[in-house]
Amino acid sequence: MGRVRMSTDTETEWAVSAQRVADRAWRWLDANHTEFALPPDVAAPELDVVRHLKPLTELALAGSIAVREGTTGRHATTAAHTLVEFAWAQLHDGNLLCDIQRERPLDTTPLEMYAPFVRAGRRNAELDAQLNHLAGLRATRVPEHVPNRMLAMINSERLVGLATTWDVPALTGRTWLGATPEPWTADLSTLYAMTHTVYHLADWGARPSGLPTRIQDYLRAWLPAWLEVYLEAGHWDLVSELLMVDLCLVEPAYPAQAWERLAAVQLPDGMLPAEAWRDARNPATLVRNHYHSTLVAAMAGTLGVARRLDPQRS
Amino acid sequence: MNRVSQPPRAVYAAAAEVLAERVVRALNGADDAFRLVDQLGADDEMAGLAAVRVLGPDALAPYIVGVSRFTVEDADVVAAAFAAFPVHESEPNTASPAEAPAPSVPALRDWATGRLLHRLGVDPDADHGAGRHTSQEALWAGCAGAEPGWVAWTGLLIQLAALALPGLDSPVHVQARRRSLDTARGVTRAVLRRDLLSAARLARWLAAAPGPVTGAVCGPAVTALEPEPVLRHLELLGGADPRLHLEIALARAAMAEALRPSNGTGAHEY
Repeated sequence: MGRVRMSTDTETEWAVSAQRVADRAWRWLDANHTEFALPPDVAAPELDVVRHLKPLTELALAGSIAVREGTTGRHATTAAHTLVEFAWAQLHDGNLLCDIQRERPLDTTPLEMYAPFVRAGRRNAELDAQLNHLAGLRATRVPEHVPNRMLAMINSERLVGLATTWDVPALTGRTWLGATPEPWTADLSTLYAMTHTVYHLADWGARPSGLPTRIQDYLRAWLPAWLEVYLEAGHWDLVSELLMVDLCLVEPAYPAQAWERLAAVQLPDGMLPAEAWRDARNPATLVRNHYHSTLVAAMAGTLGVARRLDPQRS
Repeated sequence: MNRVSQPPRAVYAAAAEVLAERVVRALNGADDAFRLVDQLGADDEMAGLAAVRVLGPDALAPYIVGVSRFTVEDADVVAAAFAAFPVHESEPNTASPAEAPAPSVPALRDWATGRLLHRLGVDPDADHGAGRHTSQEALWAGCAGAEPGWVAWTGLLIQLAALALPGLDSPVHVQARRRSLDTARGVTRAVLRRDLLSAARLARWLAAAPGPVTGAVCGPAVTALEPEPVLRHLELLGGADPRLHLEIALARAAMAEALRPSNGTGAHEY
């Protein structure tokens, strides 16, 4: 009788769920992304960052992760390229970011929005020139950002290729996560700050070693507790983010039950409701309310499939 | 006994809160004349006896930590409480239906009461009703061998918080020391769910059964979850629930015991 490792099934159950979550989320994003087309009659500097620009950036971010990983199956890859192309076209191949930068030279939003497009292979020469110039000013070296957004800016500079230097360990130490705080003090907003600290330090799972060892240890200890709390609460948006945090570690835990739960609450059309209690039927608010959780599910699932194939990445 | 004359549940719960407050006062040094016998109201002795049974081993804490002197009258109160609310045959613990066999929480609490009475000088064969269980094997079944997930395990620890008293050691303590990271995760989960009573009960285990938070799961960089900041947090921000403050006081008693130089790894005389 051949030797069969009985644990193989349970080891891969999470990956089956991750694949399933990703496939369906990409399908939904493919079908719904045009909802985020920019209003045609609003000048670039007047566009609202949260309502107009953030969703487009997030479409591009999710697309760029899938393009980078390149392992998520035919449909996901097609959808990922579609999302990046759509968002890039909405920004007039980056010219719109130049317009915003001209209006607000110290605003780091154009840089942070540009980074995922660069990851997916897009460039805008005029924006490159603007950003290179601005990065050389003392004025842009001291932005009044919250600590985790500093890390977002720094990772964006790195991706764009700007020759800047920062004391990343010191800046990491100023984030909530960097202080390795009492885990029982976490709340919703600090946990979102925590997830983003992880994403920017680990470049959304591309380089887990960007996370200091002490933070990896801390997260292996407490991520299971936070995940359990927000699974019980049905906060699927944060659950997806926490699962993606796990995938940014050198040694992820791959919590199978959480992945299975996420796959179970995802709607048949691929939308992941942001929260269990939020109305997921009103067509007027449906896409706006639930696009973010679905995007995160697509990214986390994609990264999960990729880590399954490439578990040793550092 | 005439069942109709028994006070309703709410009266028992209120009596348990009153007793909890008195134990806290004794533990905090605000009452150096604590006596169980004084807890029995002249007009409603049954409620006082019920409170002694509800608090179980915790009602003996002032004697165990040495702030009050245990007397024959106090032993009689415990015996009367067991007589009024006798030990039932072990019922299956429904908290972890997937695990078999599951420990009997009432039986383990009564075991703890019996151990503490023994320490206080009560003849173990005295008819106080505590600790009269079939066998040690049956008593500890499900506490040592099985390896439930941390949520189920900490659920059991919450139910068995009264075992986390100075002077007690058991297979549950052994497991709790080994799984202190799980206990700490349970504290975290309980605080975030606003289940403060459970948080305090798990903090008692952190205090009574400290163990390494580092190990295979985490590297050495993780700082252990310190019980005192959690306890202070619950004390100041957790409201006035007397049962919560009893758990906090008992957690501190366990911490003080753990700091005593004479306290070794435990005598392991279950």
